[in-house]
Amino acid sequence: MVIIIAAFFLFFPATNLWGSAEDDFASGVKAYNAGDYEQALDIFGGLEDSGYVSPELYYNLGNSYYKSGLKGMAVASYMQAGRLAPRDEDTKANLRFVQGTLRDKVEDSLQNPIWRFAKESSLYFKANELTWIAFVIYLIIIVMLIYQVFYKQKNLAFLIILFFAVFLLIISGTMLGINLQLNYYTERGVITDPEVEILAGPGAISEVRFTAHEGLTFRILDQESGYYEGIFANKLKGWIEISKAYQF
Amino acid sequence: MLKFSIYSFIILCLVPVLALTANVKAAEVEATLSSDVISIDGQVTLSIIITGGKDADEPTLPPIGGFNVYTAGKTFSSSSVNGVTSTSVKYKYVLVPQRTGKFLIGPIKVKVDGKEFSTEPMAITVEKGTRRDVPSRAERPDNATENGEYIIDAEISKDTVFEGELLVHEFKAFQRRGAGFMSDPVYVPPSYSGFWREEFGWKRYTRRLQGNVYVVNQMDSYLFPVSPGEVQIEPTRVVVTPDAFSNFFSFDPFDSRGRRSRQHRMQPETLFTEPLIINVLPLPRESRPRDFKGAVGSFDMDVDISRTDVTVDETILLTIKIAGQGNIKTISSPDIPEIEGLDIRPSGDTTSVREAGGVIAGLKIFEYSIIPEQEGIYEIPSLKWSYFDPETENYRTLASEEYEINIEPGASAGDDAFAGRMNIPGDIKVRDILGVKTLDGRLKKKSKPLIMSPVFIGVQAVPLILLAGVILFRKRQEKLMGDLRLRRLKRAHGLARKKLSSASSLLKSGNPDDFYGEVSRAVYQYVGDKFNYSASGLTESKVVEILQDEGYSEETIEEFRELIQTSDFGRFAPGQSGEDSAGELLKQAEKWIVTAEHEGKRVK
Repeated sequence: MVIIIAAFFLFFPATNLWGSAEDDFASGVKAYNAGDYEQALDIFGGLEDSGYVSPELYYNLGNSYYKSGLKGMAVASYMQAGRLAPRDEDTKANLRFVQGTLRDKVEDSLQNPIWRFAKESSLYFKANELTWIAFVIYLIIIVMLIYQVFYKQKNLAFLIILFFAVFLLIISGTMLGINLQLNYYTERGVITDPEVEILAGPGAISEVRFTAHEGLTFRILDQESGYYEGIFANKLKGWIEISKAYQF
Repeated sequence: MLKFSIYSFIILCLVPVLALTANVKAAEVEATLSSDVISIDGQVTLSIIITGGKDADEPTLPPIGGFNVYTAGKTFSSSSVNGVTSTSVKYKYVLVPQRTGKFLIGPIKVKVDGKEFSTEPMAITVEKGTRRDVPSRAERPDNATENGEYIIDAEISKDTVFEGELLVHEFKAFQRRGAGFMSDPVYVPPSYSGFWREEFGWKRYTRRLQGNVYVVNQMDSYLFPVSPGEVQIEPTRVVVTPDAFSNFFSFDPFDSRGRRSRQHRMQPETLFTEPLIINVLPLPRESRPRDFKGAVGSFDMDVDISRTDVTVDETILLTIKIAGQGNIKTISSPDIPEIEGLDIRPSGDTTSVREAGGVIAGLKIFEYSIIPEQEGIYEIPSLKWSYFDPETENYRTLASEEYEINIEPGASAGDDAFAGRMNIPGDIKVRDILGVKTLDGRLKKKSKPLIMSPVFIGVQAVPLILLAGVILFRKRQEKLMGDLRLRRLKRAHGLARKKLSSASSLLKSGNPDDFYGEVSRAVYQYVGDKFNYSASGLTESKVVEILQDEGYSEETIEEFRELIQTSDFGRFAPGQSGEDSAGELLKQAEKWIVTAEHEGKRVK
């Protein structure tokens, strides 16, 4: 009997015992709409801690954080939602709105227009969308090559289509690489304390380079002795105490 | 009388023109170098001044060996003294030496009013190490300490600029390595009145001057003149107090001059650079666009609107980005038109500026919130923004595209208290974040992207393997098509088995005579295909000879003989052989072909 009960607990996640994750999500929405943001935050945060992901979950989490006065965490959540649903206008609008309320307004330093275009077009798609696009083009190329092996096509139109497909494969592959690099291999952080001193080195005795405020995001370059080394959008670098930032 | 009047009128009109022409100074061309001896790490300015004349071509420089030549612009000036009008054009070139040595700059040719003028040749010496183009104490007594431990210098990138155009004031303080001072030198910059200024901090590096190593602290001030006219940059001052102790061991007690000098060196000294005069030209009034607000430089504009289809509850973000070179911080936004039904409010601007190779580049972003007041279709006209480009001395106007905004009716109040705008007491419209979302589908557990899945990576290999297989298959097929002997060899075994199978069918259908013939043909066909002979031309003795030549065993050859003889017996003596012996022959033939196939591989 004990074994049966243990197996039951082992194979059915807790959410399934008292209701599905979707039910929890719905109760989170209800709590938020009732103005109980702390409760909504607990529910949406609990779902995230249980390993669930969805653009709606991160979006609602962002809303709950913002309404609970945690702008830094809200920015991080909206950015995570944006990774999963890059074309979602509501996520973009809320992120822009929250960023508009931040004390620091840092713009990206001037970038090479080609790189900026490549980055923006790569982030317009989800990584999986780009994967499928590249895979389908790859299959088309293989089919065309097999056809070529048997029928030795010298038709110019056929060759142009083949070269065009190869070109598209290179483009989609490059976009996928950029997307993965920016969304999955780049560690990001956000300032979560109202005001944080950005230091010249990893230690409290280091010289203060400048001050940053809640919600400002940075790219994590290194981590040492309880500090992140971060680079901000305007290319300023410095060390940030880990307890005053959130990595996402 | 009338005729006289017309001639008089023409003559009277021509007199001032002729007089003016006569008073234009005759053309002269002169070339000068800012220095005739420079160090390898320095540079020299070549100026070509064309005075007088009405129409002058650009000077043609001769090849100048040992130097890289860069064009540094041209300036015009015009003056009239005692009725004599004098115009001059000055072309400037910067020569950067590539190697040491003595070089000759040949005559520079310029065509003025169709006549060719040549300048005198000029010699220039490029030395190793020492920077003779850097001011020395002897040349400029106020800008260096007595013994040359501390030297200051200031120069400007241009002496004639347009109002609002960038010029760089470069201040350098050279401190001899090892020289000590009682306290840090006190830097007193000029007031820079008449300029908007940007600075990016001190640069520090070392230079070798007149045999000594100096630590150089350089401050570049990026200046934008705010009004036209002659503007002076006052001298930059530095107060230094030499440290007597650090020079104690170099003190010579028998040198009275040195003693005096030592006493003097303990007093603070104030060093000055020379004042610099800048001629600020006014921006041209003619062809000035109406929307011009004073931006000077080189810029691009990008206008973006967040959404064009919204409900009355939602807000649209209009973003105007102006990027380029110039005084980014002071530029103004394009004029935003007032549109009835839309409340357009500025929601802030951000600026980022950086130094980029002697110029200031940056980006300024203006953001506006467009708050719909009522539903409908609205048009945001093209936004125009103009600047003056000092390079081309022309105004340029940038324009955005036009946008059409479709405003739909909003959700009824109370649907989502946090979506869109809220009306709060006092009728002040406040923008808030959009409300929460309901779930679209099921929640999924966190997973890696598809491309990182090992299964998917494995699947990627399948089409490639398929392609490789197809290529190999096709190559083999092509090889067989082109080689008849090989094709016969490859199909020998298969064909023989096919014939034996057909012989078996003949036997089963009660046709023993044809059966023996088919067995015989199968064996001959096999040998023929295998060794590239025509099966119809083979005889028993010929096959035996072939098999012997190919190195087959006596046993196999003997089995072949037996097989053929049994088959012939069956063919030519019908009814003598029973069904059992026919079955036995079939098995024997199958066995022989298998044996011959194996042996064939062994003897090869």
